[in-house]
Amino acid sequence: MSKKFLAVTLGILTAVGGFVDIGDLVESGVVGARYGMAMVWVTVLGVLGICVYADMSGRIVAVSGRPVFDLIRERLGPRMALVNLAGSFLITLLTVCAEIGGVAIVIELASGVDRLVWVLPIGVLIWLVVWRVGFERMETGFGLGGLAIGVFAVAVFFLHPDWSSLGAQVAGLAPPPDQALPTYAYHAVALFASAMTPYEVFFFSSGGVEEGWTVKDLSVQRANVLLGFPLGGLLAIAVMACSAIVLFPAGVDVSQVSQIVLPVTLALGTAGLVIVLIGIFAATFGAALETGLSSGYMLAQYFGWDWGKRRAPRKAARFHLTVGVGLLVAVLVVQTGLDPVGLTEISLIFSAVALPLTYLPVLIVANDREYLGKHANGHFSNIVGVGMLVVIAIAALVAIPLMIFTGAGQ
Amino acid sequence: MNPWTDLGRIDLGDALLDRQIIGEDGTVVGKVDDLELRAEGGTYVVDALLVGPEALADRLGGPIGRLLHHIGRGFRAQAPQRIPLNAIRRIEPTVVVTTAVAHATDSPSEDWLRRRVIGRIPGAGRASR
Amino acid sequence: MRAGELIGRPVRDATGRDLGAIREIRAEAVPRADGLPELVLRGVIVGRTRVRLFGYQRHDQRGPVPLVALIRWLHRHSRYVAWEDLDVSGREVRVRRPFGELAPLDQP
Repeated sequence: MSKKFLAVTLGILTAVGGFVDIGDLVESGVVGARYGMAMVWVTVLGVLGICVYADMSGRIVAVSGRPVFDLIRERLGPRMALVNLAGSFLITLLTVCAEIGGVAIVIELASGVDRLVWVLPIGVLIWLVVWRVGFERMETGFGLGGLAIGVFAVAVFFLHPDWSSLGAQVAGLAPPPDQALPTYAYHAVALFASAMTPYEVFFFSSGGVEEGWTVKDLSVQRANVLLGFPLGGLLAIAVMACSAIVLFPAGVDVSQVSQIVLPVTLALGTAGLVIVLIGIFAATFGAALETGLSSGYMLAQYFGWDWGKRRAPRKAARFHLTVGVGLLVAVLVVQTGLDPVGLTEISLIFSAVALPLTYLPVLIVANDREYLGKHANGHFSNIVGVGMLVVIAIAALVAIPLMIFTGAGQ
Repeated sequence: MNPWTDLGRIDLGDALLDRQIIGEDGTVVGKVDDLELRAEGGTYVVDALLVGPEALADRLGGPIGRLLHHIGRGFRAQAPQRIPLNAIRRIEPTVVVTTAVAHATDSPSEDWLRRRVIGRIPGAGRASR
Repeated sequence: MRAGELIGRPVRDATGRDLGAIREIRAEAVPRADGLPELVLRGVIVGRTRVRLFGYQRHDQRGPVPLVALIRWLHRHSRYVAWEDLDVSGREVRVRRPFGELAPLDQP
């Protein structure tokens, strides 16, 4: 029984890295403080999109053993795949920086010692986990640890909110009258893009290979998707709700992690604060692992190298070099004192390129009977898949103009 | 054993180029970076699969191709590896070649990195657990 | 010669009309006398659009419907050229027939 439960931890860790990593945590807090619950629909849309595409990726891995980036070069050709690689690699590297920065912030909040002191030790620790800790142990530890962010959901109840007013905000969909529409649109696009960042499907499908999924594991992969990502979305909505209940009425503009955990402290006291810090630590560290490994996965799968934690490092030398150098660069960037979470806002630009070029090949291969035989897409996956691709294309088109026009959401 | 005849007509870009090559025992070889053609009887015949960053760089062309050439040489990449067609067992969904050929196909950059860098870090010989 | 030297090379027809570039190479597996197969190049697909066929010329790559329709539409001017009609000696590939005589793609 417990083995079956643990089998879904890959989906949970992927979702944690996709919905409540440090960038998403802060963005959910910002959005909740500024717009109340009006953006819940964006998170729901993002959950739907990533569920459908992660399911396609998981099916492709289980039946054919091919992870997503492998297919991107095969379908798009080496040139377009290289464009995607460049964009996705930059997004992922910027995210690694943000996560390392996020872990440092959490330790600073807990210990009082300045964050810059922790950057190098954290980088070394992440590398050690990549080098020595088994994939399944890693995903179980950090996936389940990240679930401690669920304390935000508990806090929502202890804050005694006005439920009908919250419900009205959710159903309202539109921003409050005093907020500018372009800025609202910018945050909607940013929130949606972060729910569907390519490294989620790269990590999920590569994780399926690391775990040795076969056709017999089709139900396992689907359970991973249907449990993990909605859970991730719920966690993000809980963070949004806490901000909406406490900070939105007060008109506080969120800019720091300490403000986001404030509602939990208000509702649950010191115990709540301890749990939430543990949760954010696990989620952020887990996201650092997810993105650090993904940078290696995507480069290795583009060039055709051997890769993965299931191999001895000397058998996957180029993969480990990529991951190691990526971590080193990230540590150096964060050590300069740059605001790492602000860096993830810039990664939105690259999402405009990386998202369409990632999900189109997945949709095409999921329909290819040479790859999937009878497990190829049915009507539901295709209808939702095409619909989400249209949304992705629109988001890609407006992302950069909105970012310039609104000054990244000011 | 004949992986081709029941396929009849194949499109090279779709079925061969940029596909992953693995050995029958699961050894990872690389990608089909290009195909070598041989003139015969008024047309051409596919002689071998080409694997290696040099072949990919030639195909990409332009400034990116040149950059890839430089990076490849920095990591001790050499002329592309040739895999003759008769070593191929299957081509869908990935290209599967005989185990002997898979092991014989070198990756100079991987070997160099293993000797000089990765292999020297403690614990490089065991997969993570 | 390499496949990469053919794909992407500009193509003109007998009248000098710009046909785009070689987008795909069609080959056939032919068993030789000693039983081993040979992959013989039979022709090429030329077209103006850079968007790929994505495998839609194969029978087992199907759906989703809007995407197939889009690819078909994008390739409405793409044509198949048999190898006998090709002259690959120069920098530009020359087809020995006019555009109107070339076969459209039968599948996508």
